[in-house]
Amino acid sequence: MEKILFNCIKISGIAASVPKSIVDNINAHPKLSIEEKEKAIKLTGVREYRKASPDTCTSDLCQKAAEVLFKEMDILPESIDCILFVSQTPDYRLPSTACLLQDKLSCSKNIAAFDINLGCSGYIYGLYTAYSFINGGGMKRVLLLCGDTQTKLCHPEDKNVSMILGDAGTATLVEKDEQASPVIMKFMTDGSRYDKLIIPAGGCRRPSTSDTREIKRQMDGGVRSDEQLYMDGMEIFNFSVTDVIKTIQTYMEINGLSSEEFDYLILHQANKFMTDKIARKLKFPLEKVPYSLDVYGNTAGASIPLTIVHNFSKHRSLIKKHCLLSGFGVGLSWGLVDIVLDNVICPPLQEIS
Amino acid sequence: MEEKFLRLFTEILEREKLLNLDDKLEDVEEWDSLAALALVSMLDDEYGVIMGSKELERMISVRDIFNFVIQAQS
Repeated sequence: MEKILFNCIKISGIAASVPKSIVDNINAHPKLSIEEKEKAIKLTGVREYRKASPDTCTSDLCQKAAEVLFKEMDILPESIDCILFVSQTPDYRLPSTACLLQDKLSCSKNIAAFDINLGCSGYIYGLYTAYSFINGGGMKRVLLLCGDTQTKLCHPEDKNVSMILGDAGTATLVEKDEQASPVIMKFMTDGSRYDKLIIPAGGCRRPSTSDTREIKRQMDGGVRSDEQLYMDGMEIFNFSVTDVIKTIQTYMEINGLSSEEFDYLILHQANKFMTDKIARKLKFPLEKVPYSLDVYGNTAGASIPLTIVHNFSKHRSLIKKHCLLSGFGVGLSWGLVDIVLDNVICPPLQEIS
Repeated sequence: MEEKFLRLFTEILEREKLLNLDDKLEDVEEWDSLAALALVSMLDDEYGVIMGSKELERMISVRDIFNFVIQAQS
């Protein structure tokens, strides 16, 4: 792959929305002891997260974020040329949730709208897609909706995931701007480790049956059905601290960049132990590494934009901040975006019941 | 080198009593999936060695892990 570089395109706004309902990790999970819970919180850094009600889907969270963004930026939905919905918790297996959102957001019919099935790396890939569509000509404004309601995918007693994963939806506006600084991106995929973060059944490879829906003790000792999320924590950890670090390090070395060049390193909010280690190895001081996982948990593709809103919306807009974004996880899929966030409108975080 | 390894391993388990090479992991009270993550991270930080979940499954005693580190480094 050659260097992926974009000129004259920028992120002009980012909004986020979370469910009102808070899960406090100490008070929840009655089958785990206080000691077990405290130990897990110490390692992961996730004290609490948000849980969507049964009636709330990722699309609802993203819709709210988009509506607030339109209002704050004073733009009309008809001006959007494309809707990208990046999520692994769509409303339906088909049609694309993006199509529903075209209608719900009152966008023009004269647009492209489709889903991208990615999780933790989703925002990075979503940005790439949005930038490419504008770069290719024909589009001026792309609405990138990125989020997940992962709490619906996991078994509440699976300590590996049920204390970490949270729900959120975000909306990012990407548009043409002659003044924008160049943006560079890098992408990686390794399908040989597809089974390290997976819902094994319910798709076409292993269709849903009463057996796959049965809650049972699995080979790793966890309790869940085959249609619930499985994560090999050790392998994902190793992946993050070797492959992901190597990709970012190589990128920085080739381009003669050090952590001093950047204002912020914004990482997918996997868990604090992992992200602290990545920051340390890349020699970023912790003041340059904003977090959101302590109160929102690991929100998959939403985690990068949510972290931006959580940390910067009080200032109402980001001004000339050189940021290195990196999303990594399910696939295995990962990537980075080297971008100057300048004059980005970030309305306050929204909540929906 | 043994001493340092045992000290580091004991520290990450947050236990008082120093580990022995002959200790079996299943007998170590503090050993669980989170401790395993902390161990894997320590092995990388201190020894530049990566242990995957398949290798970890084969570890029975503290000595097995120590030997793994020695082998990986040579």
